[in-house]
This record gives sequence, structure tokens and C-alpha cells, in this order.
Amino acid sequence: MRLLPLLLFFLFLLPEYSLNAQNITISGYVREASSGEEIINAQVTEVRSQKSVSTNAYGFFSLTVSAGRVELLVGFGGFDTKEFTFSSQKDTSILVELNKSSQQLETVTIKGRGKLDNVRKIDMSTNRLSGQAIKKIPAFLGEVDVVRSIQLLPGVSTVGEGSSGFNVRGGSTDQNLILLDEAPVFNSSHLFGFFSIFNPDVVKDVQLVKGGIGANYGGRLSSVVDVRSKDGNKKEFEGSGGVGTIFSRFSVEGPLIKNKASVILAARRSYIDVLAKPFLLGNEDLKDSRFNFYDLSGKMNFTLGKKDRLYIAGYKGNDVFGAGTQVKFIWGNTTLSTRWNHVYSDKLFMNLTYFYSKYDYNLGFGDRDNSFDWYSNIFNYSVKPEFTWYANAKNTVTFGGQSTYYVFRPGRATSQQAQGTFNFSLPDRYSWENALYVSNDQTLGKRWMLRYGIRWSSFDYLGSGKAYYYSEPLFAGFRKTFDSAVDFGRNKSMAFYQNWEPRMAVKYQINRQSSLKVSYNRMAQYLHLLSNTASSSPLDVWTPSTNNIKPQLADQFALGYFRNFGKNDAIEASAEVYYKDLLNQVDYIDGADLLLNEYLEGDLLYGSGRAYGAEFYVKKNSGKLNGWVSYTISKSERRVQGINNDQWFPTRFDRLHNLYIVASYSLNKKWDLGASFVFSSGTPATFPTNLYQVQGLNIPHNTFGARNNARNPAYNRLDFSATMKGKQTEKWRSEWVFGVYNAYSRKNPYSVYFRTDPNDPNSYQGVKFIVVGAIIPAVSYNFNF
Amino acid sequence: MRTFNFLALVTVLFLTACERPYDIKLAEGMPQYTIDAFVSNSDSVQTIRITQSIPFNANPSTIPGVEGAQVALIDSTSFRVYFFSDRGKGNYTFTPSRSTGDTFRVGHQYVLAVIIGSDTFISGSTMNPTAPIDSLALIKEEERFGLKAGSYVELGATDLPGRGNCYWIKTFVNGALRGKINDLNLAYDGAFSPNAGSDGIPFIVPIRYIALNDFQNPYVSGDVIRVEIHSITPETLYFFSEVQQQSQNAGLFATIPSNVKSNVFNLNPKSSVKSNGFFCMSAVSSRSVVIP
Repeated sequence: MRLLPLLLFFLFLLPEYSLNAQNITISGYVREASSGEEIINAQVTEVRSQKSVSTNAYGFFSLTVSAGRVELLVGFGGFDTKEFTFSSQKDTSILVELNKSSQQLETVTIKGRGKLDNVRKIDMSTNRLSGQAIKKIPAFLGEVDVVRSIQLLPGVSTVGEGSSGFNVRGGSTDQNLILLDEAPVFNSSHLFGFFSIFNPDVVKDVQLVKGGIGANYGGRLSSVVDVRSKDGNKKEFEGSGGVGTIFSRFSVEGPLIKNKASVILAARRSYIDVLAKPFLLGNEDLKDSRFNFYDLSGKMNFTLGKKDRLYIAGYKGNDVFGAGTQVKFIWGNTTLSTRWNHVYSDKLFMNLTYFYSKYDYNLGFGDRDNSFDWYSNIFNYSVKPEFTWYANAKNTVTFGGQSTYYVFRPGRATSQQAQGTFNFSLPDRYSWENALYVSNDQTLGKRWMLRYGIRWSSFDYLGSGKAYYYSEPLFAGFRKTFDSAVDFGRNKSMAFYQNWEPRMAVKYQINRQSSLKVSYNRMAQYLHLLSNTASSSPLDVWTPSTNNIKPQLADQFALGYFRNFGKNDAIEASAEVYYKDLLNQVDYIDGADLLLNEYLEGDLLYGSGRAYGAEFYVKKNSGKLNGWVSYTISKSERRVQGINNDQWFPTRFDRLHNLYIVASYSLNKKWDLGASFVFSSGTPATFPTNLYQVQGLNIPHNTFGARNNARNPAYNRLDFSATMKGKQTEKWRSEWVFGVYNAYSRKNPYSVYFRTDPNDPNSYQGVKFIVVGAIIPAVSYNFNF
Repeated sequence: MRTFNFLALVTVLFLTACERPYDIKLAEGMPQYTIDAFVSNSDSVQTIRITQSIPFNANPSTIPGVEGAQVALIDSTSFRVYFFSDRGKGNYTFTPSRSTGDTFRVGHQYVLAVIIGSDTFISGSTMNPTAPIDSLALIKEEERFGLKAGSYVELGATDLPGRGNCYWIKTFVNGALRGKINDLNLAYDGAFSPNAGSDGIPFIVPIRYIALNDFQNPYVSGDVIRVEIHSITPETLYFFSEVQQQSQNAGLFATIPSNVKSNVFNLNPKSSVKSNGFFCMSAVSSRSVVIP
């Protein structure tokens, strides 16, 4: 039964493969003429056969057509389309260089039909943002940001300002697979979510996949955010940078060997502490305060002959908080990925990735005599071969695997006191995740496209370590009591899970301008971010699936209608509905203790989830006025034994309506204007109904035992930006960006709750907690040389 | 967890986030019984309070007492039964007597039974031994950052050997308990929680010193400071931690508000009459000092 998809796949494939003897394959790379940077997702079309393919994440394409006369069109948004006509009887490889459009107002007809991509491709529930597009969106404190841009797309929401991460189609923040050059990032936030760790100066392409997720991705339930960084200019040295209100950026790129090898280096650092220093000098206790974040990104690539390319990319970033010498709090990510592309033939492309990724934090208090120090991290090593076989004109097969070894360090903590040193560290945990997958993209006639694949994944929770066993409490929702523990030796399996994850997508082309798509995917997730707070915090701990914690599973169905209209099909529109069923969702007993708790698993509960909704999206890509309108209506619910009387309740991030409007207008050669508007229904809240007293203490109580029974007020915000082009010469281009965040100064509450009344510590007072309650202007200066 | 408070502080400092009073419309709940039963092995009058919950935004001083209930404490080790007398306004009392042997004893197990109308509520607790107080020392502090010069007290006490010993340390100033939510001083094996892995250690500094004093208001000459260490069950410590968490639940990293769990149950689980509150038997050690 499990082999059925594989069998079907070969049945479809083989006849086609043997019949077309007089076909030839055109393969090659598409890149930017000025910098030599490879272009992702460029459209390559053969006009006579109407066959078309997109370049992959490395700029490679392969297209099989009839031998003889070939008319090739290569296009990409913002670039002039190139035409080639030649005659060939044998396989041909070419290198295409595209020039940036001389004028932004593209009046020329896009012959490459790139504008109909969203209708014609099988991908659904997918949004793509180029580095250029992200820069057009008004930004917080004038600093454009990848994750904050994603948060304006349909199906994506957050719990509010200052929340790390984001929620996709009713999934929690740990269900997003965030990849930076294929290495996973465990915390994508700087400064509690106000900025993401991705330096926009080095971001080339960002893809968000919410549904119809391909078999090549796995390990998270709700979405994939695939961030690809620039390779670096292969032709000449250039630099860019910016000086802003909160931080400064600088990047430099250039050839190591012209056209063959290049490098890019970029750095950012915030400088609130630098600016604050003079004011703190007089204060002995605070003069050593540190408040900053920084990140460094670097990438090198080498073209080794015609068939091989090598990429080495690294990232290191930290947020550093310290009050005097007494308190320190540091967290950050480190990633390193090495990729090797090899073209076996015109039809077979391989990418082999090896990566290392780490997230760690360190928290410390006190001085030498009396101190507390806590260090925690998660790191992993992974190898990931992936093959793309452009089997024939109608089938493209992707297959590969991944093997990842994880080390979890939930807490190494020591406390230094006069009586000695106390160690309350928790032992490290280990696990090994593996996956194999195969998937085929198939064209059936003129109207149908299919994608069917399967992913097998497994997870081994390994020793050395202790497996804990608990006895169930009398009532669900109470702490499970520790029963016994069994010691396991090094690399002994303490728990093993495996899952078959089918992935399917179908497209039906209704006419040139419209199509209908449907998809199904099953996803398995073996890592869990434990967080029972309103917003996930940098201290939250990633934990593996264990003998107690089962892998999370999700099934998602999505149906979408895609249509383009307007002059040159410049307006793309889509409407999608989805339903997601989630299993083994981790929840917490009331009063759960998640940090440095050896018996943590006794405090966890497991439940199921469901999320459903409809997303509407209209986007205009060209002309003076660009932008999009996105509206999502959705529900996200959960049911857990022991919470909310075992009934369904809305998740913390459930928002019924989400409306985002993003617009940019190019006024003239000097000025570009931007605006964005956000409206979101309030997030759920739990409020008490009653009050009682024990030992003189007033205790709030909800007599219905309800969770998330009320709503916070709705969120809305308007931002503006204006970009003024400065000097524009061959050697130096500059611009000033002026921004206004929260233009009508709305006091959006992050949450509403009760606190002890400062005037009367024994009674309560209702308050709203506002993270950004004022209008925030900003100015930054960007340059390029 | 204390680290979260720190995190909230950093966030607030950095983002100049703010809290504004806000009028919240609340759903109407039903009044429920509260059984507040903390009984000790001391010779003084022991009181169990039975009250009713009130709407959340009502004045706590209007909490009504429940009269006419029957309250019994059963020593299930010695099979003795102690009846508490209804003194009105929700107070039920029992006066121990050494001469008759009617006292509550360390190591014994107790069952609380409360009958209100047709409903019977029960709970159980063991009386654990408590840590003796070795000293109550006077400390003179000079003026320094975050601290005013003056007299403070420090408790000398060591956690009893064995894991899972929990204590509630109460400080009385001239007979009045420092009883605000922020004054709750709890110890688990001499530290804050089982996660510390401590055992048999002198109580850590925050418990033996910081929590006993208000460093903005030093004690003044003539003040009588009495400190009591009450042994409590681990469930009671978790109960108080939950109460603390619910009352200090603010900011970005607030946990989802939830009902504090009670260890008092209606014998008939199908009854619509519910109860809150807590039952705990404590052994007490005590010591006083007069500020010179």
C-alpha cells in the first residue's frame, strides 16, 4: 500500500520517457548581467512548444523540447526579457544574462509570460518576496525587514508587537521551518521580534509556503520560510550600507576571481547603548549597561568548471542585554552551510548541503560572591542531498534525503553562594532525524498539472540519558507524578517514531488567465518549542520528541482559485480556503514550570487542533502604483483534556479577521511613497469572573473554568514612508528614507489583564499593556557604491 | 519564574512599553464556597474559614462568611475526630488542649470534612516536620544602592534532610503578619523549587534575609519581630506559587491566566456546588527578636 505512490509515479513516467527519441534538452543558468548573481525563479519558455520551466534556487533550469528550431524566451520581473532563436539537433547548455529594465514603468509586453506565474504554476499557498519588494514596504524605524514583511501576507498573523515569530494558518510559532541558505534558524528575532535576524542587504529571495508543501521540506507543521542570500557580485566590487535610527548596516561584495568566484560580507549593529553611554557615565551601577544586537553574514561561492559550484555561507548574530555588571542576557543564532551543486547531465542536477545551526542563550545575575549563571542551547548537524531529474518534457522528479543529529542543552545552571556552588544543570539530550523523499511534477495535456510525492521521516530519541515515566493524575489537567526513570547508554534508542507524509497538488487551467488548484499535505514535527507565555520568549526551550512527547502531526487541505486580469495581466488575484487538522499539540498544566525542571514532562498536556479559513489576495506588480490587499478570515482552535472543561477553545493567536493593505507609489524620479495598513481582530484573553480569599490573599477565579473566553480589543495601525533619491552617479547612489510608524498614534493593547493595584496591593486593577503606544518617526540614509 | 520578571523589566525599560488602567467588562460568574483551612500544631486557637466568592470587581471586604456548616478534622493515624465550632461570620474554631491530648501531631495524616447543606467537601493533608530556627540575627546595614541604612533581621535555619521539604516562612512585625502577596516567602528544600536540587542546606539568602525585610523601611527600635517557619506540603507550595503567578501576571511574557487549583473536593463530583480553597496541616517553629 505504501509503495502505491511510487508505482503510480513510474507508470506515468515511463511511456513518456521512451517515446520521445528526437527530443533535445536545453539547460543552463540564468543570472543578472551586471553582477553575475544567479536569478531564482526566472521563467524560461520555448515559444513553439509552449513549454516552460522556472530556474531553481541556484538559477539552474532544464527544458526538454523537440529538436530543430528553438525559440527561447527568458524573463524575470524587473528585468528585460531576452529572446534566443537557434537550431539544434543535440542537447545544449547556455548561460543567460538578463539586464535590469531601464525604466521601472514596464510598458513593454512581458513575452516571457512571467506575470501569469501564479496562475500557471502548480504552487499554491505560496508567496514570494524579492529583496527589492521587501524594500518597498514601510518599515518600523525605517529598517526594512524580512519577517515583518511576511507578516503582511495572507494567512500570516502575530500576537502583537514585541512578539517573536509569527503564526501561519492557525499554527503556533514553532511550526514554521525558517531556513537561511537551507540551515534552520531556531529564533528568527532580534529585539523581541521588532526585527528579524535577516539582513535585508544580503537577502536575495524569500519564499513562504503555507500549503501544498513539497516533499523536499519537512520537520515543521505549518509553513516553510526559505530565505536565500545573495551570492555576491561576480564582476566588480560594490558596497552598500545605511545609517538609521536604531542601527547601521554595511555590506561589501565582489569577485574573488572574475566570473568564477565571489564573496559577500555584511554586518549590522544597533547602537542604543552607544548613544546612551554619555547619560549613564555618572551612574556607577549602570555605566556598563549593554543593549545591542548585531549580526554578521558572509558567503562565498566558487564556480568549479562547467558542472560544479560550491557555496559557503555563515551567519552569526546576538542580542546582548546587560544592566551594569550585575545582569547579563545574551541570545543568538549561528549557522554555517556548505552547498555543492553538481550537474550530472543536462537533465540531472544535484545539490548537496551540509549545515550546522545553533541557537543559544546565556543568562546571569550577581557578582563574584553571589551569582547565578544559566546557559542553554540547541545545535544540529545535517547533511541533505537533493536531486532534480528533468526526466522529460512532462515530468520533473525531485528526490533526496536528509539526516540530522541534534544536541539539546536544556540548561546548564550554577549558583555561586557563600555556602558553595550549586549545580542544577539538566542533562543534555540527543536525537537523530532522518528523511527520504521522492516527488514528481507532471504535466498532463494542456490543462492539468500534478505534483505527487511522499516523504518518509523518522526520529530517534537517543541516549545517553534517562527516560522518565509518569503516572497519570486522578483528574486530567493536573501534574503527572514521577514514577520511575530508566538509564540508557550512549546512542541507545529511547524512543523511535516514523511517519509517511504524502504530499499532493493538482492544477487545472481554466483558461489563459485563471486556474483552480487543490493540495493536500501531511507534515510531521519532532521538535517542540515549550512556551506557556503570551509571546514566546528567548528563554523558551526546544525539546525533542521523547518517550512521553509524541511527534506533532498535521494534515492540510487547500483549494484555490487563481486569476489575473488587467492590462498585461498585471493584477494577480487569488482566493484560497484551507482546513488543517493537528495532532499531539503540546499544552501545559496550569502553573507549569518549564525551565530547569527535570520533571518537565509531568507538566505537559497533549491535545488536538484545528484551523480553517479563507484568504483573499490581490496584488499589482507593475506601474506607478504597486502593492497588495490581503484579507484572511480564519479560526484556530485546540482541544486538550483538562483545559476549558475538555471543550474546544481558541488558541492564543486566533484572530478572526486580518486585513493588510500595502501600497507604494513612485511619484517621480526623486520620490517614492509607501503606506501600509493593518487591521486584526483582537486576540483571545482569559478573564476571571469571581474573587475569593485564602489566608488573606485575593485570588481571581473563573467559575466556568474557561480558557480564552474573552477578546482583547482589535489591532489597527497605519504606517507611511517616503524615499528620496539622493546623488545618483556611477560611483555613488544614495537615498533618504523617512518613515512614520503608527501614524495615528493608536494605543494598541498587546494584552489586557489584571494586576495588583499599586495603591492597594491586595486588590486588582484592569490594565491594558501597550508595547508601542505612540507615533514613531524615523529617518535613515542608505548608500550604494 | 523569577527570570521572567527580569525579562519583562528589560522589555519595559527598552521599549518604553506602558500599562494603562482599562475598564474590562467581565462575564458574570456564580458564587462558590471557599474553604480556607490552614491548621497548625501550635497550642493557640485554630480557625478554619468558610466563605463565598464574590464578583471579581467587588470589594474584598464584602466577602460573606458561610454559617451553619459542620467542620470536622479527622486524625486518620490515631482515629481521633476534632469538631470545629461555628463562631459566626464563617469562622470555625478548635482550641487544642495538651492535658486531654487533643493536639495535632507531626507525622499524622488528617482528613478535613466540611458539610454545607447537602454537600460534603473533603480534603487530606499530612503534617510534615518543620525546620527549627537556630537564630534570628540583627543586621546593621549601611546606606547603599537600593537599600536604606538601618536594622534588618536574618533567619538562621537549615532545611531538614531528605527531598521535598517545603516551608512557609511568616514574618510578624509587632504581632501583625506581613501578609501581602509580595511578602509570601516559600522554600523548597531551602531554595525556591525542586529544580535547584538542593537538600539540607541553610535557607538561601533571598529566603533567609531578603524576604524578611523591606529595604526601604528598616525596622525601628522597639519593634518586635517574630518569624515562624510552617511546614507545608509540596502541593501547598505549588498552590501559593500559582496564586503568586496569577497576581503578577503581566507583560509580554505573561502566562495564560488560569484557575488556581484547590485540594478540597465535593464528595459528589456531579454536584453543581463547587468549592475553592486549600487545606494544609503545618508544624510550626518560631522565634522573636526585639530591635534595640
